[in-house]
Formats: sequence, C-alpha cells, structure tokens
Amino acid sequence: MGAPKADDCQPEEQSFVYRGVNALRLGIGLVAALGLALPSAAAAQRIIPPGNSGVNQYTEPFPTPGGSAITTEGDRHSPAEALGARNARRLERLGPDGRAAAGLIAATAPVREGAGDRAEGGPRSGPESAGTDEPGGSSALSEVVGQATGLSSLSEMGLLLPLVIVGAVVGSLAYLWRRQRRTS
Amino acid sequence: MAAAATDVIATVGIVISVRGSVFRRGAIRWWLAATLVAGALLATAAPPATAAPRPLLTGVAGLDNYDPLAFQQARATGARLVHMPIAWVHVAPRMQPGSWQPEDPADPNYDWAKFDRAVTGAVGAGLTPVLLIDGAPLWAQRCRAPSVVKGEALEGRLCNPDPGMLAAFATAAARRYSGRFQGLPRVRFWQGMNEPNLSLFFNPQFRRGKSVSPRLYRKLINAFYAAVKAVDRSNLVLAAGLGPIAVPHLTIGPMRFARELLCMRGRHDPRPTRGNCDGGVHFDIFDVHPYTTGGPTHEGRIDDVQLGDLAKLKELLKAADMAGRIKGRFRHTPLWITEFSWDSNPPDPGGVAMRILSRWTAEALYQAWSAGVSRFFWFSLRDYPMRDLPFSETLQSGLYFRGATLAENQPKEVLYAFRFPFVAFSEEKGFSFWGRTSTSTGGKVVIQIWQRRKWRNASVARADRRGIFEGLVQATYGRNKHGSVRARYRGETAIPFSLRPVKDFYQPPFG
Repeated sequence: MGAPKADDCQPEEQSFVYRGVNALRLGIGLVAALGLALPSAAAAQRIIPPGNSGVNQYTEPFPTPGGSAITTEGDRHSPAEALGARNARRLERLGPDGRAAAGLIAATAPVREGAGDRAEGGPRSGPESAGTDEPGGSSALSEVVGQATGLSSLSEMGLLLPLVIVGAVVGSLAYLWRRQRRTS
Repeated sequence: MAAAATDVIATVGIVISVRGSVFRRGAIRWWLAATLVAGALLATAAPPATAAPRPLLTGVAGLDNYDPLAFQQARATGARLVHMPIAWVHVAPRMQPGSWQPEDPADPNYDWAKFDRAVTGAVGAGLTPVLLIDGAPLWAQRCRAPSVVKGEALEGRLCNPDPGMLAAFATAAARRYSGRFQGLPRVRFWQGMNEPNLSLFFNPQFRRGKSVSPRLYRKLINAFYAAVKAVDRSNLVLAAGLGPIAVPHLTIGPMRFARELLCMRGRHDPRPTRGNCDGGVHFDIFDVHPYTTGGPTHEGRIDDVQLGDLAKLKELLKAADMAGRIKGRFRHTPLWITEFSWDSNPPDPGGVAMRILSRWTAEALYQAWSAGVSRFFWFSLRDYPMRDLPFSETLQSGLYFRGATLAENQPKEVLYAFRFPFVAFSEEKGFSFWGRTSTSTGGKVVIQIWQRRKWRNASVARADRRGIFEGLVQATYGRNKHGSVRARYRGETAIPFSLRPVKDFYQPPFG
C-alpha cells in the first residue's frame, strides 16, 4: 500500500498523489490520536502458587493493580523499536505530524515481553522471550495503523477501512468534477 | 466485508491509473463514478457472511474410573464422546524385552486389560472413545527429564520419546482397537501425546534458550499418524492438545508452539516459513486445552490460547491449511477442545461460585462454537480426591460432586448447563439467544422469559439436526439488560440465563 509513483508527464496526477500523502498524514495523526484513547497493555506480576503440582503452567499470574510496579520508563520503546527503524525514518520525513505520530505510537506500544522478568530481577532474555522477534512482514501503513489502534492488520479495521475508501473515492471524484468544470 | 473492500481498493487503483483515458468521456465517466460510489457503499453495508450450520458435540475427559456406572454418568451429562488416556508406560513392559514384537497387540509383554475394559465400557454406554496415547516408558525416551526446573518438580515427565518406538506402540494399539481384534470395539479417534508445549509433560522445551519441542513433536506426530493410518485409513488423528499459556522457562505459548510446529511465522498475519517443514505436519484434527484464568471471554497474552483467544488459533490453522502445511484428511482442519473446566465452589473455596459457573459453562460452549470448535470435552466427570493436598492443587472441576463410591456421586448444577447449554444477551431490539439441545438433536425449542413472577413463552426456535438453535427476539424485554431467559426442549429446561452481564474477573481455573 505504498503511495503510487508520480508520473512526470501528468502533473495533475502528481497533485492528486501529494494530496493523498497529505491525507495520509492527517490519517496517521487521527489514528495516533485514537491510540491515546486506548488503554496500554496491563502489566502483571508473577505469583507462583505453592507446591509442585504444575498448576502454574495453566494459570495466568495475578495482575497487579495499575500495573505500574513493573512498567517503568526503561521499558518504553523508542520509535525505531516500536515501528522498526525504516518505518520510523519514513514517519520522521513526514515532518512534525509524522514525528508526533511516531512518538505517540512508541509511547503507547505494548510493553516488551520479558519486561516483567527484568523488573523482578529475572533473567534478561529468557527462552520464552527468544521468540518475540518474529518477522512481521506487514507494510509501513499497516504497522502504523496496527500499532496505533491495536488492530493486527488492515483487514481487521472493520468499518474504518470502508470509510477511508469511501472518503478517498468521494474526494477524488469531487476533485475530478471540479477540474472538469474548470477545463470546460 | 474485507474481501469486498479489497476489491474496491483494486478498482480505485485501476481508475487512478487509467484516469487519463477513461475520464475524458463524459457518460462513461459518470457511470463509472456512480458504480464506484455504489460499490463502496455496498462494501460498507454488506452483511458478514453467515456461517454454515455446524455441530457442537460434547464429551467428558479425565474419568478416574472405568466402571460401567462412570460411563453411564458421563452419558447423563449429554456427552457423546469420552477422552481416555492409554498410558504407554502402563501397557508396555518395564524393561524393553530382548525379543518381542512391539507392533503386535497380542505380544505377551503388553498388558492391555485396563484399557480393554475402558474402551468396551465406553462403547457399551454409547460413547465414542477418543484415545490419547501418552506416558512413554523410560526405554523409549532418549533423555531424562530434569527432576526440578525453576522450582517445578518434573520427575517422570517425558523426555524426547523415540518416534519409531511411539509408532510401533501406536500400531499395536490401533490394531487392538480396530474392531477386528478379539471382539474388541473399534476406536476411530487417536491422539498422539498430551500438552507437548508444557514441561510438565514434555521435555526438553528449550535448548540454549531456543524452543525445540515443536520440532521434536512434529517428528513424533508424523510417525504416529503414519502408524495409525496404516492400520485403517479412516482413523482420525488429533494433534497437540496444547496447554493454554506461556510461562517463561517452563512452557511455550500455544500460539507460538503451533506456529513453530506448522512452520508458520507472523503473529498477526500467519504465513509459511521457507522450507518444506519435514514434508508437512500430519494430523486430521487440532486440539487445544484453553483453561482460562477468568471468564468465558477472557483473552490471554499474545501467544496464549484461552477462551477469548480461540479465533486467532483458528486463523492460524486456516492459514496453515491454505499453505499446505497440514497434511490431514480435511480441507479445513477441525479444532477440538479435549480439556476445559473451572473448579467449582463448593467444594473448592477458590473455585467459581456455582451460579456463575453454570453461566460461564454455557457461555464457554457458546464461545467455543462461535470460534468454530466442533467438539468440547469437560475435565472431569467428578471431583478428584484431595489426598492431603490444598484445593489449589487438586481438581474440583467435576460435573459431579465426588461421593465415597461412584453411586454416591451427586450432580452439580453446572452439569445441567453443560448438558443443555443456553445463553441470551441483551440487544438493542430485544435479546439474542443461542443453545444446543441436551440430546444434540433437532426440533422445536421454546424460549421463555421471566416476567411478572412467571415464565412466559416469548418465542419458538427450531434446533437444527445437530441440536443447535439461535435467534433474536424483538421485544422491549431484554433491552435494558434486566430479566432472565431460558429454553425448553422436549420437557427439559435449560438453566435460566440472566441478561445482566457478569464482568470478567481474575479466576484461576483450578481455584
């Protein structure tokens, strides 16, 4: 879903593309603002039940109130960590809006797995956290949207996606109609 | 909906690219524009695809007694199936004989007596047995499980069982219960090993910080599948039976285990890794045990599978099916739950209060069905004995209170919710409902509401031939999340379901 490449022979299209990028920036800003409203991932503190029955292999740890006990500033992501260096750079290039969106996404990104272990004095990289770096493979836009909204892919956007499509279609038609009127 | 939206995106892309030529012609331009807008509106308004009718048959797991009365009690829960382990270590000799035929079910070194009784009793009671082969003898294991890992006692747990030896034993078992051996009944469903993502049952889970159990298990299940299918092609093989959560150093989260087993990658958009994944993973049915630390909609962390997470596992299976990773009988690999329960209070003071448990159980069945689960087993038939252990370490999740003898077992209220599950939810226009008849058969179901101190008929639903019924009653009743609804089928009444929601709360499954 990258922006279509501008054709030097068709300046009108170039204009359309730039407007699209502006819309994208606006969209990112909106999505990032939405992200503010979403609750951050609740942190949890591990309580091992007594005995050796293995029950704790089936039971989630008891959640601590507020979750602040193990969520420290040190656990926060940088934009590059949250989005990947390449995507963070892309957002940076979009100017203040992009930088704001990147910062927001980093601030609201889920706490890394294993953060709880570290806070409790556990090992820095346990076996379970070894698998957290699976390649995602999603596009920059879907990563941005996914990080900001908690949606895993564009296909999970529900009503948002059709609304964006309708908006894009209506906008482009209005633009073409206006241009048609000018030329005639 | 998503597919339609994608089509619109593609159409928009085409229009932008050909704009110069197409939009010069006025009539065509307006027609195309109108079509586009209409298409986009249709995409937003299109209803979600309705799912084809599908069954939800129930079963019981964890029977601690194979007396005929136990099977009758299991049948009384509405169960059609029973999940029973065959402990390889108990059937096989303690020491590997110098000369024997491990694939021969009649080899004198084997002792099948207990399991012959179990299979015969189950089939005699009208239950379909699902046999789990587990518990390898020491001579069939290629290492020794550590006795203690991070404070967990692991003595006697499996350690890298030999796939060839497992296949030999599976052959013997499948031949014995092929329906063609000494008058013993036929068993069609076979499961290879239990909860291989938990160090409690399977080792090693990790080596030098990297997970190894999915790869080891892949070799085991492939060997198991070949052996069971070689006896009878119509046998069906269950894989995995994964435990619910990731615990650092002890377990691998079931989503991660499943991804690695199936050679898939990507937590959100699963797709195949490079390579041929040992030629694929051979099984017919995938099994998970989504014990839930909370209510029926509770979601675990990203690699956990609790009741609220079933859809993501189903999505992974779908992707693996499409990628050709699963080499099984079905185009869409079925998902089963062969273990699930919460401890009840009473008797466990840390268990779920009985009234909430009944509600949660009906909702659990609904959640599972909604996610595409077709078989759901409750663990267990009756409460386990205490044996001087605290409640937190014993299972008080039976559908019956444990009596001094089987005959003295007493049904819990939750049994009726399991037998005839029924849920109802407040909606803008009234209330919606879902249920499954106690006999899993079709027919007329009367929906009743509690109004002015009396149960009154509100609607009549039609259960399909699998006993599933659902619908929406348009009425003022139920809109304000007050009231209670129940279903009646052939003189039997489901436990009333309150329209007032119960919020999720922290509840360890074993109390």
